[in-house]
Amino acid sequence: MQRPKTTRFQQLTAIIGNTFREAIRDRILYNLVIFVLLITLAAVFLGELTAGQEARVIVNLGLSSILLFGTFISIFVGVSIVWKEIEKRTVYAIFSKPVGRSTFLVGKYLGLCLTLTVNLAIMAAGVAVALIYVNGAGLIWPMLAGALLIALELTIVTAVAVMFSSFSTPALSALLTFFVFLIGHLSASLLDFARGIGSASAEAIFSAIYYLLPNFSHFSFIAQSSNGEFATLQAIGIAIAYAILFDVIFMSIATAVFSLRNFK
Amino acid sequence: MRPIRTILPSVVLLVIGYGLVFALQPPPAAHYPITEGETPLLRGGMLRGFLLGGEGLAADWYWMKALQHVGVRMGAATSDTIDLDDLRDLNINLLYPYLDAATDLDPHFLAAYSYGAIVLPAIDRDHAIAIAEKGIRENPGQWRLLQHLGYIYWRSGEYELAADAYSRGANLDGSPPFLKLMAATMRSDAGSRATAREIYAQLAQQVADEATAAFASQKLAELDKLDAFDELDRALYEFREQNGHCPTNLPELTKVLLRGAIADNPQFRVDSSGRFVDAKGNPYAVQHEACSILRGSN
Repeated sequence: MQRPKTTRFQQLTAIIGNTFREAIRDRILYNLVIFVLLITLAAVFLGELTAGQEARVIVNLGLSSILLFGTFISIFVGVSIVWKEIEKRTVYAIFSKPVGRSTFLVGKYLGLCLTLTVNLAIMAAGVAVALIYVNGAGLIWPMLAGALLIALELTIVTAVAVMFSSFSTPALSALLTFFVFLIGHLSASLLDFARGIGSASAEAIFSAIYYLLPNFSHFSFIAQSSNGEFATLQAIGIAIAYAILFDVIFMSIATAVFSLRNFK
Repeated sequence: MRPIRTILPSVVLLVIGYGLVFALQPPPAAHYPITEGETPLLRGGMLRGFLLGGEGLAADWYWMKALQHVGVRMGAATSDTIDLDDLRDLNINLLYPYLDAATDLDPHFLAAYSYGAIVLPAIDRDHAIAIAEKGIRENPGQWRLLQHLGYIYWRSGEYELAADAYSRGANLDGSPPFLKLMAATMRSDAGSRATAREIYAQLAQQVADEATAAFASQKLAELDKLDAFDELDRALYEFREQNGHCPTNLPELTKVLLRGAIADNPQFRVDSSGRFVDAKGNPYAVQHEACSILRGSN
């Protein structure tokens, strides 16, 4: 009897689900223990040190930690996600079935994004509980808006990691992804700096970097969140569009390179 | 299970290793001695944009350093009483750089502006004005910062400028009516103790950060103390007028004092041994030659 043919969407959801389960089995969520300890300690001890500013510090500390933990997971899981399948030769079993390489790669990417989103949601809930503990419930919504922007930033970092992992070794991919993360946060400042020193060549180089690589300042709203400010709908809209654009750009490169690879 | 002695060499090495590390490590204070003219390693403006989104956290770090700096200097003060109107002798020279760095990194950090505007006038008037002006520039809708600027000018006796700052604050949306009142008071009765009491009472109630509110409360306690001195002086004068001599001890004044407002003053009470003491339990003393209360006695 012939088995019914699966649609591309079904294949995609199956890969997303498997990637998510695999990440959970790899104990990715263990980082939450450290995060919870950090935030709990901060909530308990910051009162004395900050003269009534503990809610603000918890938002800054919480969102900065979410960004840091999220980035590390994006980089280290993202760079090994494809490499592991090739190394364990499970990729051959998958490609012997009617699964496209782009479906496989996009599924892997979205599975990791799902893992990161769950991770981030739990961490944001932890920060919210800490805020309630220090009577700073008024900062919960601005904090969640800040967390949303971080989530968008992490989708780009993950796409970069998956892109590099599609043609490079995990160590080199991790290094290159970290550089993109670093430059993405500094590109606006570096361009200002180059304009300030008046060097035409430096300005040209940093302008190229500014436009070719993602500018993560679109997603930096941590300090504003700690002051109770909301990101405007326009800023969130631009950030979402910007993230989707770069996700598509990097995943297009990744699928193109991955499709050309010879697995024989 | 393998016998525990198999891991014994590792445990011994660990203990010896950490013992040596502890011996080699200089005491923490030696790392960061507080020296004259010390400034933060990097100015906040230089760091902004280079901290991977952690500017807010760095601003908090500078804020905590500022509070710690003031706390350490206040704690190290040798004199029993600290003059909150003049803290220059305490060498709190890093407060402005720390607050400046914190507000460079987070220009909307209102607590840092408030604290600087309230404490810096006792150290450096120009720095106090600089931090308040910076706050107003970065947060043009915040009437509290104009209230603080008015306070700084009032402190330095520049009543017209203070009135102007209060008026500007009163014109902002959401500002409370007392700012208008303060602007008028600056032009008519700026130097009175009642004005000072109003200013500090508003600060103690309005500000969001505990450090500034605590400072304002301390100032209110000082004003209560001045009121207590005046009330005791008045009682001494009345006693001398009635009896032709200064009382030998303050409890002799009880009858006169009971008629005055001092009974409600938190800086005046009678302790278990019948002495007149302030809120901290320091006794008031009579200066017999002048027949007045000794100011420096507590």
